Amino acid sequence: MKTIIISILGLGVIGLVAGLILGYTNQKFYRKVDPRIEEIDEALPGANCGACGYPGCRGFSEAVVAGKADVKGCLLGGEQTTCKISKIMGIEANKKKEKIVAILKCGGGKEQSPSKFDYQGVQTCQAAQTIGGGFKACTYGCLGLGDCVIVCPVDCIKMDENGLPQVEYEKCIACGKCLKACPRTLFTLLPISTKYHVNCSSKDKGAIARKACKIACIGCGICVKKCPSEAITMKDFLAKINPKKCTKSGKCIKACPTKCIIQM
Amino acid sequence: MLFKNTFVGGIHPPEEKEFTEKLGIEEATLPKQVVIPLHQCTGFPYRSLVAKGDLVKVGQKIGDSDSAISAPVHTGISGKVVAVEPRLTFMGRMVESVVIDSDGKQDVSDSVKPHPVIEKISIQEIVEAVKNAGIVGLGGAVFPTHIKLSPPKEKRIDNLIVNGAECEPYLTCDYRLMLDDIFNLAYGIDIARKVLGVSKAYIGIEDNKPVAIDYLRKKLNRVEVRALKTKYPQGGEKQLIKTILNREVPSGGLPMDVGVMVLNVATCAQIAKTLKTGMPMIDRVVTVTGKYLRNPANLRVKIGTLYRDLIEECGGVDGTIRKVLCGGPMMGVAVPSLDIPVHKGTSGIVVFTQKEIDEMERDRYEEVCVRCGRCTEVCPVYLNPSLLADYAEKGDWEMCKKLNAMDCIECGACSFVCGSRRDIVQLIKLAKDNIRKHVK
Repeated sequence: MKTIIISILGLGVIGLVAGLILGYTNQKFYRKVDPRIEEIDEALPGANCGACGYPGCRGFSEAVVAGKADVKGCLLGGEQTTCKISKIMGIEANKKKEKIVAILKCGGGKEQSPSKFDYQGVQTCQAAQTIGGGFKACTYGCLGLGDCVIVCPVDCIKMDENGLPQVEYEKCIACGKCLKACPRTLFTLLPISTKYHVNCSSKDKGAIARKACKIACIGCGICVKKCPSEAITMKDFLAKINPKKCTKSGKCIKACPTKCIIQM
Repeated sequence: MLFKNTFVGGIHPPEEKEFTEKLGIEEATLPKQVVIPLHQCTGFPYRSLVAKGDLVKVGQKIGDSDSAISAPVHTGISGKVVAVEPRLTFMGRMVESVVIDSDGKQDVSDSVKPHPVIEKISIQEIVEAVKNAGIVGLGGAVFPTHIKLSPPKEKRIDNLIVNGAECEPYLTCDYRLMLDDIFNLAYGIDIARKVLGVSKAYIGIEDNKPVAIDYLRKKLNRVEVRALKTKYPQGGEKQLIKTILNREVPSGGLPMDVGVMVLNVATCAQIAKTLKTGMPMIDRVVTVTGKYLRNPANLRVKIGTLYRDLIEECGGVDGTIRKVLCGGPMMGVAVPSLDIPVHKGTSGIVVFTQKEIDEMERDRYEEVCVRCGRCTEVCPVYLNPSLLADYAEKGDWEMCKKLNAMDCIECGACSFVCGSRRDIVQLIKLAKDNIRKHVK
């Protein structure tokens, strides 16, 4: 009987002392956690895709509350999520931002630009690029082995029969992973309202570019002359359209002899 | 000793040397046109010293660079420069090249002067002559030889190894050189020994060449001829050092870190030839071979001769040409076109026909690794190739570096034995590329 009383008392005293210490430290070292972090975390899609540039959704919510990240930072969630986050943060999100998408700057598939040699090695663009600078006749064009397809977090890139990746613009969240994955950096991010773009990245001289690909930009400069708003510039035998200046007259498309300027 | 005269790992691919091993070195016919790339060795590209329309003579320097690691290039034919423009080379890249049409006269340039006899010439003069002659390592690595011949002072070289292993299947150019050009070889070894200040010289030859071993034992009395077990990659310099001297080159180190210098037999012979005649490096021995090639041969070929001309000279093939290799089948590169020139590192041209390739590739499809471990067994540098390939596939370059991908000598033994036919070497090469670019 005595043993039981002693053990109960002993345990009770230890419990009391421990409780007091815990209570005191909780008061003394209390760290206020912003409840908004939890709320934003709930509002996010929770895919942890990393497209925002932070380590997962939790990292992004902390950055938003700390004021480091923009409320529009979540590309996957889109407008809905932005609304929810701005409500939590108590700020008005800016006006609807225009959707940006990844666009391939190459139109030379298997038909237009044949292979220099048979490539039988590792079937990734990065590996193919290291063997003789790539098997494609054009040293700037798409190799078509689909490194971009693998990295796309929302599965919006598909390979077509011509060996060129096709981007589904509705799904694209402009995360920019395909830009980094492509060994020839053929993707670019443009607003979806861009009507015309140069579908080529070849910086070769006209004759070489034409030999390598039927629809290459040969740097003839006709589009530069025809453009009414001076939106097109020519650098390294490659035309570039400035979407801000473009008035969508469509004259460049008609004038281009190799049809490398296309309508989206 | 258990591992006498060999190293750990390695494979024994079919030798296929019977097509050319009994054929002496012949002079190739003078090409009508040569295309000399202005980038032929490790280091930076050169600038052209000639312009379109210039007349050039044999032995004239046509390209040079100011950078320390480089060797100049010379023309092997006399004639007129018809173009200086980018041309396709064996790696599939466009390289600035000098195109020369032959006039058939073969006038020798005034700059070609013989050097004094070996006893009277100083070490600096030899190194300078080697540099001016544009001599590079002819085993395939094409590293400028004059840099090898002037090692930093703190590295003491006490052994010279001459590499006559020639472990690549099909190739016989070094073997024929040892038999046909023994005087130049002996003289070259003496010069290298004098320059490096070493007393001990070895020559390593695989024991599938008994004729050469006996012959060299008789002829070279101051050089120890070592018969090595026939095993690929016996000719890799690190494997050769391990076999002959039982020294191991440290990870990331050079043979000079263990006091050894390795030179190819062809390089030695070229040094001797240059010092005797003053003629820079304008030609090299190339084995042109293949099962269906009508007249395979060991040819002394002018640098810049097109592959198409050489295959024609060897009688063409029975059937259609499907694949042509620059170098042997283990480390060689399949060339993108036949209109590419022989460069200083071209040790062989191996021609495969459609029929052979169809047979080889009938069931060539890649499967997943089954963890059999054969690649680990044969790897001569003790790596785990399958694991490295896995990490390279995932793009984890840091892990590749941790697993010492940089020590890979790209011999291809792992790909050769792989039962799942994986492209292991290519993946490791990719990893090495990315480690150089991204991992500090």
